[in-house]
Amino acid sequence: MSLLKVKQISKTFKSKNFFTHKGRVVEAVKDISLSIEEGMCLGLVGESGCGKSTLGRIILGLEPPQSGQVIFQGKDFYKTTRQEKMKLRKDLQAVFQDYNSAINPKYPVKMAISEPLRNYLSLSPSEEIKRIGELLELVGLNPQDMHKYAYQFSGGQLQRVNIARALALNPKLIVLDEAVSSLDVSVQAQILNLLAELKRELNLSYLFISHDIEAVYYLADAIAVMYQGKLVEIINDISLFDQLVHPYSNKLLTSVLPSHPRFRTDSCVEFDELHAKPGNANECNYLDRCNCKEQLCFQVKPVLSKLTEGHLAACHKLKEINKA
Amino acid sequence: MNEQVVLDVKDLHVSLPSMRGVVGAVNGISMQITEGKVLGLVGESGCGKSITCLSLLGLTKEEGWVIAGVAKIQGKNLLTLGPEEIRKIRGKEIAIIMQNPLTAFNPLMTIEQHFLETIGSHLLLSKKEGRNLAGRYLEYTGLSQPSKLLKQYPFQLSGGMIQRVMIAIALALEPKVLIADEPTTSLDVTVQRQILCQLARLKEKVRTGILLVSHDLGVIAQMADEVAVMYCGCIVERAPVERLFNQPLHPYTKALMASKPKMQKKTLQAIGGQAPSLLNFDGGCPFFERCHEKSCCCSHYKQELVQYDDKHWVGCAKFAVKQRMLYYEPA
Repeated sequence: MSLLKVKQISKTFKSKNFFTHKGRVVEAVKDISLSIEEGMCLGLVGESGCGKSTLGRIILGLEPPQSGQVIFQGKDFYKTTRQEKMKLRKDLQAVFQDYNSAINPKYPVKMAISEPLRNYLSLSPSEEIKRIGELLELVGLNPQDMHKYAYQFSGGQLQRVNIARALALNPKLIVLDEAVSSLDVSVQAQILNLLAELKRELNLSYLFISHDIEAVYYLADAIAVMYQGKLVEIINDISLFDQLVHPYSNKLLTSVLPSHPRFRTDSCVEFDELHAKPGNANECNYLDRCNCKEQLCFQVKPVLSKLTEGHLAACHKLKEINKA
Repeated sequence: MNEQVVLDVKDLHVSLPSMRGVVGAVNGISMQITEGKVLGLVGESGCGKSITCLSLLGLTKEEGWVIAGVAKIQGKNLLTLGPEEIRKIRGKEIAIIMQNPLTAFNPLMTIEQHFLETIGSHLLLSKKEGRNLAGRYLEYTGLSQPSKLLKQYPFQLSGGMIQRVMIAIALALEPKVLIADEPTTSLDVTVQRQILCQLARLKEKVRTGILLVSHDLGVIAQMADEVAVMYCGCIVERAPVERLFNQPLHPYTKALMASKPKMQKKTLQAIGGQAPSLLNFDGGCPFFERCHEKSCCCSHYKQELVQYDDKHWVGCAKFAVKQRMLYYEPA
């Protein structure tokens, strides 16, 4: 049984003009289904504004979806009782991008880490201190650092504190929302290594949300590509990474910069960017930017369909290839 | 060789006073930018990349800041010019692209006003001519409908578009040197690729020398002709790009390359520890504490770039002149 199952969730946001009361509807997440197995890391990639973070927040229970279900450990998160939710939340933690604002600057970091401990466990003060020390050691910090304040840490260290807090209750699933994006390359490597190590040791599952495909490839076991609130491709086995076929996935892959000047590509990419516009309900979302569109794409919206075992994509072109 | 050096920086020092002592933000860096070439400046955050850029443009004249050294552009030393003189050079001879495009623009002015402000302060043009010039450069950057775009305000454009506008404004006066301070860091990967392409294309057109500052080795690998690796306010290695990626000499450069995820599952080799404080920098090897290859003589080493061969310079004790090392070694 999967640890987390997301079934056809949708979320729309409405913006309203203060004077005219006329609003625009943004479909942040639309009809998304995915599942995360125990001990697995799902990498979610996409451009900014494609709804990655909203999906993460829905899974964390911070943003109720308009429709659909989030089933965590066999229970529908948004339909259970308050007590059940409390229990589920214990196994569901998050690490966010902005490590600075995630920790109260007015208290030493031990307060930040002890907060989940106090909510769920009744530890004596000495046990609590011991546990905090263990957690800090686990993420590679000195246990004595618990008395320090947020400003006394560097970015990488503070992100480690955030990870320690997420680990405090031995969760099953951690949502890493751009957790390494704002760190320096050398520090980013430290944190990625730490996350990979923790995953192995504690059998954690991650939802790793990022726009950095190289980092996702390093950490993830499965990958999902998101575009304008919809999943356009899922591969359940990261070793088949080079088989990503959706035009948008390809675009993301070709945007990865070379690791060596020898792999430099001089072919110039033409300028195209996401334009928010009221799309025709029946045409493909990716139509404006696609370079292999055909007549069918204007009439029927492609749905996520199976190409091979463990590989789904939403594109008309690909279905034909598969049939042939 | 008919390569013309357009900006020659020699021994640039920037030190900032603070409550607890003097912070040596930039400690004697030298670099040359040649016409039509890209010099990549790579380093972690806090290593003094941006301060270098700002001090070259004379934008760091705050009380107490000490800027020493020589930065020559067409025979004039940028660091000693008065405010009025440097204003004439800034924009015309040397221009900058900032990291955050949205905060670099005035939200109350249209794109056209931004253009006319920059162009008008250097050239005697009528409004119409200025507008034509602006339109032409907007077209060069791949933006469609420049006439419509000129009437828009910065907030109406997306991040990628506004960054293009910034490039267009910076290049409209065909400066000799363009300083691009992390031009793509705040953008999406797909847009980043496009912006870099445009920048490369325009470089060919205008023959500008570009100082490309980035923390991303990928950007450097794609764009640069020559690379300078910066660490703690010092340049620790300088080489042509192919050379640097094939044969990095300085331990920091090696570590930086090993720590980048490269589409493979191997464990990343992170650099342990963190960069030392630049407070009261004593001129020793800044990478000493994090270095895997240090030896006994490293602690006495004074940071300086030595020539390894023709175009490859490195600032590491291992490659310093042997005799000098013996001299420094304790008896």
